[in-house]
Amino acid sequence: MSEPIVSVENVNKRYGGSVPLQVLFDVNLRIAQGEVAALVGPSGAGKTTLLNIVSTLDKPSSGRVLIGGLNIHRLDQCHLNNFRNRHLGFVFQDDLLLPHLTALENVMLPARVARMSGHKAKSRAKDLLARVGLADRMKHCPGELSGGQRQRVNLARSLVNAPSLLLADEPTARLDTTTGAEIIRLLIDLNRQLGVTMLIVTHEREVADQTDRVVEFRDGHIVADTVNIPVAA
Amino acid sequence: MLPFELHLACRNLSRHPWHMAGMVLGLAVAVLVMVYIPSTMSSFYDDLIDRAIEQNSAHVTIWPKEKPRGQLDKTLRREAGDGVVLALDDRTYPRYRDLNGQHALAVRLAQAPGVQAVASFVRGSATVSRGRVNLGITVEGIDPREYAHVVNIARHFPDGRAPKLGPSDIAIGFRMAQKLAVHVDEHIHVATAQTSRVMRVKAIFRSGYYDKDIQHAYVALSTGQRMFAMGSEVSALAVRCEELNQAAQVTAALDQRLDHKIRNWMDDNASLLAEIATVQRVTLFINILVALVASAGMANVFSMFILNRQKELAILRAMGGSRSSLKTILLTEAAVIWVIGTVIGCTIALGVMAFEQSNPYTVSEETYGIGSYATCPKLSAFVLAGVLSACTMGLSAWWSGRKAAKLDPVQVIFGR
Ligand SMILES: Nc1ncnc2c1ncn2[C@@H]1O[C@H](COP(=O)(O)OP(=O)(O)OP(=O)(O)O)[C@@H](O)[C@H]1O
Ligand SMILES: [Mg+2]
Repeated sequence: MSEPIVSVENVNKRYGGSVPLQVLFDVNLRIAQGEVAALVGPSGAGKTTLLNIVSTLDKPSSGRVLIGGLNIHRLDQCHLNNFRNRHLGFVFQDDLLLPHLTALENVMLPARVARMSGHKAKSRAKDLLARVGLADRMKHCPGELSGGQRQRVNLARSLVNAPSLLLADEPTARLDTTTGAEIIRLLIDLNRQLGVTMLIVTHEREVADQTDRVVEFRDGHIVADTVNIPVAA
Repeated sequence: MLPFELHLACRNLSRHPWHMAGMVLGLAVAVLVMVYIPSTMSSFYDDLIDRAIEQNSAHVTIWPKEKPRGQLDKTLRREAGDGVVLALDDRTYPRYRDLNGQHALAVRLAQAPGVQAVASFVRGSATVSRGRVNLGITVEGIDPREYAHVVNIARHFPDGRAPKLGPSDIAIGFRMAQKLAVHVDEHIHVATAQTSRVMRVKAIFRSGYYDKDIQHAYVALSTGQRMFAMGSEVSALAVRCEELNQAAQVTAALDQRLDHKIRNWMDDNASLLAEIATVQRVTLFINILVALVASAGMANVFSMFILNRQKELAILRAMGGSRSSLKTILLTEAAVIWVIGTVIGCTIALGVMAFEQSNPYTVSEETYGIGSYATCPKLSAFVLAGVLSACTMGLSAWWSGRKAAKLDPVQVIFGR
């Protein structure tokens, strides 16, 4: 196994409140550069919680997460913003596009946040939109696109800053099986083309089967970690 | 290409036209109020000041110094001997309050910096009578042409010019004329302590001051000197400064150089000025109140505006947009609303004022001395309204920006 890009070390997560609840128990997970890993498990297992911690949106109660060797929860707000913007891509269950921007503008946005020049951002965004098969829908707003198309725009957006790690939380949950399969195929294709490491949370066995590795979660523990034998093409 | 913050701000505004129109309208109304109230107030007081100073009093007046009573007595005794002092006192005393050497003084004054024109005048009390009506009045002896350079009395006369006054001519206020039932070219009897004569009413004036219109009369300077037995002396010198607000400086400068009693229009109109200052304070207070109420309203509308967009802002944060980026977006939106709202508010205010100019209000001339009245645009009011409305928008954007920056993306995106 090559040098891990993500290294989750003894992560615990407890929620306070009226009924204190521990959601993650001493989770350890390493994901190698260029790997596509699926995180599966029943509802309430803590998959989203773990993903949010890796994506720096949430903090662990104890333990640490290294991405590219960097202890991300030690970063100050400014560096964290920067890190999130340049090194991480997100795909959420809901597409979460800005409704008043066109597909092209939505895809360009993270690049513009990174202060990339308008010209460069545009050519990148166009390239990515073409890769996800939306070359002819760039000028449309999210309201004018189907669920699957929106999720593809989302995918293109998450990749525009060439992140080293893509985190996807049930990217296919709102889509029908065929469209969902298409999106997963697209993810795998993009992994092959761009070498982006991916961590995908999913409920669906068919999705997990297409990845390099399946990490199974139950009640805040990793209960299984299996490597998929690539199906010969 | 615009920075993404500006781009997003413009998109947000154009995507919520009604929201934006509401905020613009609210701000425009606040600006209208903030421009209109002080403009009205200061137009009204400008009129009052104009009447009080420009038309009815000199900027600076040089009076003889009153001699202390003891010294006066000594002088009188020396001049007239012990026995006649009491008898002489009443008739001689005014003589010692007159200004002599006024010509040389006038020349010196005219050369003083900041002084534009100088005129001498005599002033004294008299009784006018016609038929069975008797009135106590103040008679002012002036050289109308010279005096008109110092105080703009020409405007009070029907033909807009100060009349030429012959030796037995008198110009009286219109209320006095009404009381005496006298018209131009008719005669009245005028008596002072020293003389008594019949005079022809040469002109009737309207000064805009009730008191002046009922108890003031002008005669020629030499006539006045004769009526009060003043020889060649005068009561005082009236001075016009190049600028009204130079009066204080000129007073101070003259005070050092002359051994006279020097008063300026501010001393003479202290109560009016105090009243204006109070009204200005109240107006400022009202303006700040309007701005505060508008701020609260705007902050509310703005945070609603943000509540509707929480998800977008959270997405931006998740994509690495910094808190200051969010604040920039909101401030930009506030700035756009500020510009449009302020321009609209000011334009409406100008429109209302233009309408007033062409259709002035009529007000009681008895009370105010001016028959009609319209609001004039005042630059200071516009500037103040602009600044206050900027504070309003800045405050509400800052406040809602703070709230937006505190949003936890996880909470918003995952509804936790
Ligand atoms: N803010 C919170 N406060 C308290 N408990 C929380 C909070 N967020 C999540 N939880 C709890 O943590 C547990 C794990 O939640 P999580 O969303 O990670 O599950 P999941 O594996 O993603 O489930 P699903 O497949 O349904 O999305 C759940 O029992 C949930 O109720
Ligand atoms: Mg989940």
